[in-house]
Amino acid sequence: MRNIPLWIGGTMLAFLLFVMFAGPHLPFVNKELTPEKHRWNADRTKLTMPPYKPSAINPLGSDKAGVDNLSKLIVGAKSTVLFVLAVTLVRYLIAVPLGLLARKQKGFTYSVVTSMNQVFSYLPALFFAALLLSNPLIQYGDYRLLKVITILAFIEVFRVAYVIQQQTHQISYEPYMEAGASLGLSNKRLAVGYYMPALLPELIINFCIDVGKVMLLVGQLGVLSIFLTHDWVEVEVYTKKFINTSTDWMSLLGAHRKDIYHNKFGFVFFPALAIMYVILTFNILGEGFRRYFSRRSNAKV
Amino acid sequence: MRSQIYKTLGLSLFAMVMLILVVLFPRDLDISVVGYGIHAEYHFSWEKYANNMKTFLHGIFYEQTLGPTRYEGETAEAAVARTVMNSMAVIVTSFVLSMGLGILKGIFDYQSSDRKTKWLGGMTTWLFQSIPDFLLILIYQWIILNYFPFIHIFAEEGWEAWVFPSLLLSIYPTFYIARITSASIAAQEGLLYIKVAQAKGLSRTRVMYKHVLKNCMSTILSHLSALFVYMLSNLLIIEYFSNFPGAANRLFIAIDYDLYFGAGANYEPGVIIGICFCFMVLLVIAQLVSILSKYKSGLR
Repeated sequence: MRNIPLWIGGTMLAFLLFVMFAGPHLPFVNKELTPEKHRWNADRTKLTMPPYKPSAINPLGSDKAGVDNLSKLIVGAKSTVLFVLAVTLVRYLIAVPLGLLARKQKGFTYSVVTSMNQVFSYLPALFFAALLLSNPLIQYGDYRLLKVITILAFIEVFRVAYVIQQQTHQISYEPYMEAGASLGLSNKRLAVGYYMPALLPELIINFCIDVGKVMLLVGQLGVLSIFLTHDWVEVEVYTKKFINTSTDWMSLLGAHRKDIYHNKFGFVFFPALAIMYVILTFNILGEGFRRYFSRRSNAKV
Repeated sequence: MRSQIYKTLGLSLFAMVMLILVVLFPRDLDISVVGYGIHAEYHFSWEKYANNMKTFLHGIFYEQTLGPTRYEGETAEAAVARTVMNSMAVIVTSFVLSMGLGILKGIFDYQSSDRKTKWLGGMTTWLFQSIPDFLLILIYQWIILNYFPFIHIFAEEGWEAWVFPSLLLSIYPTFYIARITSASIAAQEGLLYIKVAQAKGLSRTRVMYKHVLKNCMSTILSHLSALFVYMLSNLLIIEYFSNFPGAANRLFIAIDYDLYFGAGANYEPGVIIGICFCFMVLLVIAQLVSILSKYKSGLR
């Protein structure tokens, strides 16, 4: 029990997973998100129209169509977290081989990784994301979700690859690495059997922290109403509008942001708090893993 | 050091060219009415792309302009100059503020790391960095609107328009600098020059501010470019929420991310390129300072 951050982080993650997978099946959650267009009081004398105020039926109130806000939040958890994990995973799947290829600190891959890392550091990731995601090929094309995942992963691939390169370079000076090399092992064997196990603890820690970073970036995009999936449909005569097609937290943020101009704070806090919960979970988890691995490596010595 | 400076300048040039290529990507739609519905399609053509380039380059080299904006009578360079000046005032103020407060907090964090107030140091820094910036701004606006309604947080001019964004923008950098400062002070612990200074009978405060901090400055300055990137993305969210007429918000308006027409009708490539250029100049300066300070600390 000495590693408190790991326990707290693990508990928070367990709760998150519970909400993601079991949440929609809970009795008080409206899984289908069906709108309730009007509501009578007990003796059918008074009619109320949505949005409903927070009550026993709608703990967080409802939106203008009468959909329960709490249900929206819970149903959206799964797609949000899975999306963020997908972006981070794609990023690491590209960055780890790149970093391993560049370990000798010279050659083509190394110069590409360092230069591109610097090129992408001239503007914040948020600006790059907004610029690239508004590109018409992505805006109107098919498979938008896949393209968005790839682009968001790509923006910071070289930063991650650079970090991995630095670590592998450091590892390559360890005595056991020289032993492996002098045994005449193939590059593949060295990478899988020697570099990866030594790299894995740092990878796990950085992965957790990166999940938090991606969550923040995606949340900021949601605030700017840049949705991850949308449809372009005709909403009025000769007027088309991008209609958000998913129920993730980012779109809830985007949809409720304008409420603050009418001083109607309320629901807009909850998706933001949920995003903070995810960031906090993975940050604490990363810190917990850091302590776990550093204690284990100290114990070995 | 010189090769590193040339590399930075070369890469920034490359980044700028790439950016221009991305921004000038053709975005017009072919909209037609088919039956009773509207039909919009996007077709990419190299011809349009080349045409966009030609117009832009012609504007820069022959007419010395970045092109028109969505508002009649205002050129893109005028819009860029106006908004960048607004934003720079905020950035510089909050940078100075966060440097001062951040270093003080860093020293406090370091000195309190073995006391009972430990949680005030490391924990707050760490917890604060987990709060998304938009949540913080939401809470701030909610508090002001409900309890201090006489403060105009949506002001576009006057001291309120400048003070509040600066304060908000300085929060995250302060914590960032605090963390770097306390880490770099901890790294200096037990070095010989500190022992010499203490043996000379100098007071603890004097050793800290005159000796240790002087040596830490180069480490802190070497994080400058990361700090500015952080501040700029923060700036966009702050300006977007408070309707501040600054460059980051203008950049987003120029991208014209419209829910009705995508990035189309009012897209202003000149404004985007101009503002990105100004931000990049800021970041290149920050990177050069980083390189110089690294070089300086390496010599010692």
